[in-house]
Amino acid sequence: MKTTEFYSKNYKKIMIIPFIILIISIILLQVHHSTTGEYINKDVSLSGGISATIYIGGLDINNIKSQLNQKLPNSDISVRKLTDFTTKEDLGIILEASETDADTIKPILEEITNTKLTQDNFSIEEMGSSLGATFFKEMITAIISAFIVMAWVVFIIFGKKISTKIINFIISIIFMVLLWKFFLDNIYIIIVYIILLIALFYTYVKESIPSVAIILSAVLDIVATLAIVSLFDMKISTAGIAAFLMVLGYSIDTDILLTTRILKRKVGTIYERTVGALKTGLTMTITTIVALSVALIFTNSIVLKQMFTIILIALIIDLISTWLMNAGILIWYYKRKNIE
Amino acid sequence: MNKAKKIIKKWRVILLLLFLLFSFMAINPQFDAKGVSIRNIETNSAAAFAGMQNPPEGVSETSREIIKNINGNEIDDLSDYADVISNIKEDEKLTIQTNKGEYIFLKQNETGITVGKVATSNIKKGLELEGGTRVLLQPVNKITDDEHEDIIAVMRQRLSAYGLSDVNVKKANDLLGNRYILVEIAGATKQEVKDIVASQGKFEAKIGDTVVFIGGKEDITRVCRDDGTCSGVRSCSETKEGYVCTFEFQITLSERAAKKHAETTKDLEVNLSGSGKEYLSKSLDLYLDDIKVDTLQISADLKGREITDILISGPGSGTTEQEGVQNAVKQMNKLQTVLISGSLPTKLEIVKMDSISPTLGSQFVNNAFTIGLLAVIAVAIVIFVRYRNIKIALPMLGIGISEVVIIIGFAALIKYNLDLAAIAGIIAAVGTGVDDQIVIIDEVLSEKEQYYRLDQKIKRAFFIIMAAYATTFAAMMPLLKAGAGLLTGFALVTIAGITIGVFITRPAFASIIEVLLEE
Repeated sequence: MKTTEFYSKNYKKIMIIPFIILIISIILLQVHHSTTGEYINKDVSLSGGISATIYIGGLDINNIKSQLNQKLPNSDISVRKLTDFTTKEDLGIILEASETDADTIKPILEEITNTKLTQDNFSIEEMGSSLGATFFKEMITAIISAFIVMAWVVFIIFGKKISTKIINFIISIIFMVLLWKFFLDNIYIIIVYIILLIALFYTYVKESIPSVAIILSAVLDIVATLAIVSLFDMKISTAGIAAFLMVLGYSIDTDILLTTRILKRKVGTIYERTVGALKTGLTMTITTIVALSVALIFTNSIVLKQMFTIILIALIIDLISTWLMNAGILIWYYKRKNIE
Repeated sequence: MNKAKKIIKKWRVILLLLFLLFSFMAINPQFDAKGVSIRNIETNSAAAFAGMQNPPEGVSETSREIIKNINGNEIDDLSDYADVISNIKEDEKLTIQTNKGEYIFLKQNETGITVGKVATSNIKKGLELEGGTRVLLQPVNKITDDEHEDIIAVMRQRLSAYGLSDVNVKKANDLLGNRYILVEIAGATKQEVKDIVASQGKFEAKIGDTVVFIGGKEDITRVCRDDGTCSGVRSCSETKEGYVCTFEFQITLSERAAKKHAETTKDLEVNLSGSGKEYLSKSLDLYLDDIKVDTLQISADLKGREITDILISGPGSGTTEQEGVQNAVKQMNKLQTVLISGSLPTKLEIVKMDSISPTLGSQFVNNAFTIGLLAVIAVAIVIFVRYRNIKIALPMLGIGISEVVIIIGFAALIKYNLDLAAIAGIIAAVGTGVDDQIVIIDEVLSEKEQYYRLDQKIKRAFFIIMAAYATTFAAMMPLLKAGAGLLTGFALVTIAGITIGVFITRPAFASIIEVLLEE
């Protein structure tokens, strides 16, 4: 068995790769933040503006874009073609523009396309900038809360002492209540968060290294995916952030599989158990990747397209974080524990 | 053959079949959907007097009353209905046959019936899939729970008074404690909707500084509308900029408001106007949201009297006479609407407004079906390549499809709109389902652990499945409330989907595999 040998010889070395990826991702995000002021690019659903669809074939994208740029100099404008994948028919255009509203842009578009825009050929979504900001805040809150709750659930499953589980539950709840009330608005509250997080992390490390490995793996999935998304200058929508929450769910599946197989099974060597989990885990991830790729190619909705893209990227990262990092940490932990 | 019998006898499989049957009943697909369904019957219309009834609130799509035949003409769809109705002359007899009865009345200018397409199932499609208008409003000031309820009630009344059917007004809160009002109007809607939902609608009629009456049921018992004898556009005149038209409609004041009028006017002086008519020294000024819309002179013989019938008037202008009339009608409608529904407890601000064309909606639905089918086939191929066993690939396919049916059945049952986010949620749930089934198969097939019994292996698989379920469930919880309820569909469908999965479909799958792989 070659793979078992690979794991028994290299389980420490392979952990280097995910850690390098994590560090590069953090650097990339910081660079992006220092050049643009944001960690990710938000689309109009999170920053305010309009997104519109005109269902008229044969429109000239470049002409529309340059005319819009001229008439709305303050707006950030993007225009895309909408084509039917199966028939290749030109259905119309999708455009997004910040710092404007429906009442302003509709007459301009009517003038450019020289058509009256009605409900039969025109859809428009308008997002107030204050609501966009609230949405963004909430989605961040939702992701952080999901993380905290999930970490606790993982600890419940793989942790040991009931008393620590209860204490950590209370700390997690306090953290979330503060987060929903005060968000990240001032430095004092951030210090409180950091103290609470250190307390949580300390007990997790002390009591259950496997839980920490699972949480780290989820962190890597999210951070690396964020870095790739910002590297490609993708503009993230509300649905895109919801996709990150789906990623958390998918990412944890394989980690729990691996942890259960390694720690709770007795048959075979630890390497054989790891490779057994690897086979199952790869089948899981590959079926999901294949299904998502098919869906991504054929969907005509930009909302779904973005969600699928984000999950696809994250699943590929998850292969590294689960089978190199999480497996490495678990084998190392198991050996140390058994020697003791 | 024997194995099929054995599978059917497993209680987990029976449970799955029961749920499938139940979902099928909840979705209630209609294969013979002819006619047009009744969406709304206007009160006091000829149709209402003939005994036609407004569909009860919360009626499921497939139990709406359906018009099948008018005056002997078969009605198959909306265009048939429009043709037949427009060909019937004024004051001609209308015989409407529905699936619930027969109604006969004379056609007046409007029938008072609003119709829609017959639903082919109880699945409610969201705005992105059906087209329509969505307005998200936020109160300018902090409001209490009661005020939130009040706003919803007034908004509902206002929209129905304005003549819109198929309206959904919902309360929405978010994680950060903000309150919103979500208004969704299916189908094509006019531009004025924005005006109707966003204005506070504070109507005041003042004499001097004294408020005599305000909008709402307390002071105004009846507002005349849709009746040419007491409401309509009365006159137009040409001005420098174009045309100004005047509308008029009658309202009836409550006793309390009438007394107030008597009290306020009894001490006023009588003046003689240029035309020789006698008027009171102060006029009745009408304000809408603190802006004066009109001033009515009070004739001298009304001094100190408890009058109940008042004629409200106001202007509408346009560059052509036709435009002037149209604007006057719009203004009149708006004023009538707020007089009926009264004012909102606070000002509202439109924070999001979407207007979605129905055109692409059906394409989205077909597309979602196509990609769903292709994804399922792709998964089946991967599974077959990995296990080389049709006994594994087929049940997996079957279970995946059952899961979709049960999730959609659940959505139909709780009357939840399926939108794009919900479709993403279904995909997520079924994706996790496939993952879990792979865990089950691999546990069952693991040769190394021969000395474990099959049911013990399945039990062990379920430890992993339940742990993964608990974490995904936890991850989705905060999303239930985030984003002013716009992502609730996604979170709800995902949570429902994975829950149905771990408690119903996966146990059934385990039972099927157990029987199929038995030696």
